[in-house]
Amino acid sequence: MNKKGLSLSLAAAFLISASLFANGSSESDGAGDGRITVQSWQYALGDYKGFSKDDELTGAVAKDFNASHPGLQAEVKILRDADHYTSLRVDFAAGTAPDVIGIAPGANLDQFKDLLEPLRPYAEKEWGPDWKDKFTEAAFTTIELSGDGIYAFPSAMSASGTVWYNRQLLGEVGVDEFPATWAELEETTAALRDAGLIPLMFGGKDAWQSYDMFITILGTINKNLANKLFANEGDWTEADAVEAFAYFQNLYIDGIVQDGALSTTLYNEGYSLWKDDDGNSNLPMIFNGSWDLGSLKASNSYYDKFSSYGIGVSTFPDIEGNEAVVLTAPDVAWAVNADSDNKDAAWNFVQWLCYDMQQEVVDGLGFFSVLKDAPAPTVALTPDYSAAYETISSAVASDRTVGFRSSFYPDMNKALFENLQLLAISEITPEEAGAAMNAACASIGR
Amino acid sequence: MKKKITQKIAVYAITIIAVAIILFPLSILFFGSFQGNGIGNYVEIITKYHFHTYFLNSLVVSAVTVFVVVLLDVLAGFAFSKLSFPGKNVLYVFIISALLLPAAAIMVPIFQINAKLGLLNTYLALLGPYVVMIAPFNLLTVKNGFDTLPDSVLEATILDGCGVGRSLWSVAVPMCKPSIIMAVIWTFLSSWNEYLFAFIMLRKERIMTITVIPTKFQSMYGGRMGMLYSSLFLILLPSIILYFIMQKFIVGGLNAGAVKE
Amino acid sequence: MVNFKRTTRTGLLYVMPLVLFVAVFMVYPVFYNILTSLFDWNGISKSKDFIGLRNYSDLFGDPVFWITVKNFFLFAFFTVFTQAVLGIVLAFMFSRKFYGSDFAKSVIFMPAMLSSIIMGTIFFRLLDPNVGFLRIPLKALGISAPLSNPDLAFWVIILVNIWQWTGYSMSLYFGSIVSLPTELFEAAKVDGVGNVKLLTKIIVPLVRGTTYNLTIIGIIGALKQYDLVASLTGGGPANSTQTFTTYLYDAAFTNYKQGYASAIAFIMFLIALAVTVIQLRMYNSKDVG
Repeated sequence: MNKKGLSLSLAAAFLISASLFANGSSESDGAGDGRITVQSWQYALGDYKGFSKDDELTGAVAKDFNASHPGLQAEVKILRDADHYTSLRVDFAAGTAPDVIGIAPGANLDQFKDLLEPLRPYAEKEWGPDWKDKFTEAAFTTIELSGDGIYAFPSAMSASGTVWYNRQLLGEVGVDEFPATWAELEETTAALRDAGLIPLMFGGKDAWQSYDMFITILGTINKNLANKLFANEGDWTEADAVEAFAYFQNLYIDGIVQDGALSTTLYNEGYSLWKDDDGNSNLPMIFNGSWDLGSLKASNSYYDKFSSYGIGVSTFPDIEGNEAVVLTAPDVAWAVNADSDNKDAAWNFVQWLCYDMQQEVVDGLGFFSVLKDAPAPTVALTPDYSAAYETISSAVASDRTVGFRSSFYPDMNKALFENLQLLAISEITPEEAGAAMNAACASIGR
Repeated sequence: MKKKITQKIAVYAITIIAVAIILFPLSILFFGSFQGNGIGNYVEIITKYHFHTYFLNSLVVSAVTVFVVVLLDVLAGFAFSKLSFPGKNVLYVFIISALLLPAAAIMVPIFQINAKLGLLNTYLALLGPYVVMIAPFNLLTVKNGFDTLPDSVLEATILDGCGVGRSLWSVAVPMCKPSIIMAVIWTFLSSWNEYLFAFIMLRKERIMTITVIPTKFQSMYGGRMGMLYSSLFLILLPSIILYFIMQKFIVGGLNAGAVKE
Repeated sequence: MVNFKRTTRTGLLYVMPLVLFVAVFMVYPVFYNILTSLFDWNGISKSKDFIGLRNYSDLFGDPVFWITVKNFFLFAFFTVFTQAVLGIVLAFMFSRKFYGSDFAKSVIFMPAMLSSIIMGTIFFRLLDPNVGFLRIPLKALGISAPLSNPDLAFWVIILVNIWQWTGYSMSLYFGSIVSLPTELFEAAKVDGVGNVKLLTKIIVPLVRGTTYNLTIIGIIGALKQYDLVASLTGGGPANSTQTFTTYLYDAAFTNYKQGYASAIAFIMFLIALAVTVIQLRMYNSKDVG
């Protein structure tokens, strides 16, 4: 073959491959004609109207929005949590970001805010100057703290710092009630270990599990200090903070959490032991939040088996006579892309999800409403579900709550997770953890 | 004779142990894939998750990637191994250096390039990143294959009046089959299993690739492990089949490659 | 080098398509990272602050960065060496066909096809001290929860990598051993050369091209190691298993420090470039072709 032949065949090869590849041709996304794109992560919509498959769920949401908003057409997509944020990075860099963006309040929102539309004016136009009275106070704690502006609206609240338990397995070591105090928790977990059972399942490999646990402990010991420290206005070597680190370390030293907790993620490793697809449960206790209420729906195929264990939920045991706090914070929020061609329509979607649809959020199960006059669930609930819902919602309504689940400062989060892990492997003392946190937080500027 | 029998026993013992070490962990996944709904997991994935669309899309993407990557690798590998031209070492290092950046570091800039070229949401958006991520890797293997080919064999073809092209396609390529087949297998595996770029570049349901299916079962609610495992197994299957088929060719290469002139 | 006529233009023509691809899709990303590494930027925001080389000075002062350097050397050395030894022995064994050898070869290659989700799941189920299938033998060895132990976790990752990639080394060696002239094996047989001697004295030197090749693939693999660490330990406990790439991901995605992540990327690029150049020198000086 001569060179000409070769270059010809090369060119042909490219043409063939190009034509094959070009098969999926691009279509322009119509803009400014009432069409909006919405993207969020998988659990952001709960089990909307009972749907659990991604496609059916997003289809149902889009259909209901479009039906109630003539002239507007929403295209809704949900991705894995990490994929959602990855795609936002590339999309904002290339100018292809969706109009409505699901975003987690707190550090994530804080990082994205200068690409998002300030929503206060829209809210004032919609509901008048006192619009905020419609929402619970906790609904905006982790949204407003990231600055003066409001760059996202919350649609659903969750509560964490709670422990789900399996009455049947606890009964095997003669424990009838969930431990009420730290001392009882130690006794119970020791008894479980002696019986060859797993003690408290904890996903120490997950940053979010570690934050939830530490903030629960710290908030229980000294709620005001917790608020101050996470706003970067406190001293991490204060006695109560050091004590919280010590309690956290004891989870590992005293074997309250399972062996190997540091290399366990709650999803899916820990959780698949708590409940497998057939409804079998191999764990007496798991540290997990309100979103797992959904597992107690009668419509789940595994429900009969799973509920036969007697599944319940409790706030964390008291620490030094202090009733434990729960962490209640907006779990899902929605923002409008500042570069959107269709901001009003995008706001309509946000407003619809965060206000009009609160009944469905509550009925969608697993979430709590952001509204002061929260609608009660209207769907038929199982007794287990009602009991668990009652436990969590009364804790949320009490004054024993903390309004955040991590810091707004990525640097503080990073340092906290590192120090909690160092405590877990007994590489540092609680005092050293406090000093290290002070050092790490010193350079964080507001 | 006795030595031969002990040797045979040793070979089988090692083989069985090696196979067991590999299969035991894999069996965990296999048995896990039936939890929840038994074989119904597989049926549900194939019937309810646009499986055939994703499967075909992945097949097109992988087939084209294999074709382009292996073609370019054979040409470049041969040139780097057997031809002399100016700037050879520099160009070699230049190409190999493409191996060195992790996907996370090149994701945003490559997305920008594709957006500029108007390739987003077309299969073509994957060709560029896949070629630069996979081809340099295989170039090492393919070039090494040509390196082991004695120059004398090719010089003989010159005496027979062949040009460079003929020597390459009719003599060098058949004799270097094992390394080229490794390149085929590797390119297929890399593009078939790739997720990050596939999901970033292809956002429309009907052009997405098969690796998107497992993500549907990894929701925060604990997902569905049985479905997750079975979908992972379904994705694994074509790779296993391809390897089975391709290794026949590698062994075939023994006879075809052993030139006795 | 073969004495073709006019190979200059043909040579360039043959490498040009690949060079073009790399030029279009790699040069800009490299410069993008170099440029980004000079800024304090969260990777999203429209504003970024020019800070010169501060990301680099921060990086060199960061203890975790030095953990990644140490882990890189450990990983590269032990995985490259072990996989090469196991790979060539297995390939040599399989180079003589026997009943089931094709099947065994395919099975041994299989782990190389596994995605990181599969790897994470499988090895949790093996190593977990509560439900892991290996917990009892591990306990007998005095090991509990190896992935939660900062002294052991990285070694586990090295072992798992060997489990996953020996089949790949084996396949490459197999390809080059069966490509060797058959007379070689016949002559060895006639001369009564034992298997050990045949392998170490004759085959190993002849397949050194493959060994070089696997070495550079292994070193680059060590540099880019992400999947295994992310799925087995996530870089923990307490950063003890961080690699360049997991640390880069953490910086870019979890901690919103894109400039810092790009600085890591550029350092990786420099190390790998040096490795490639050294390897090329060695390779050429031994004159394998």
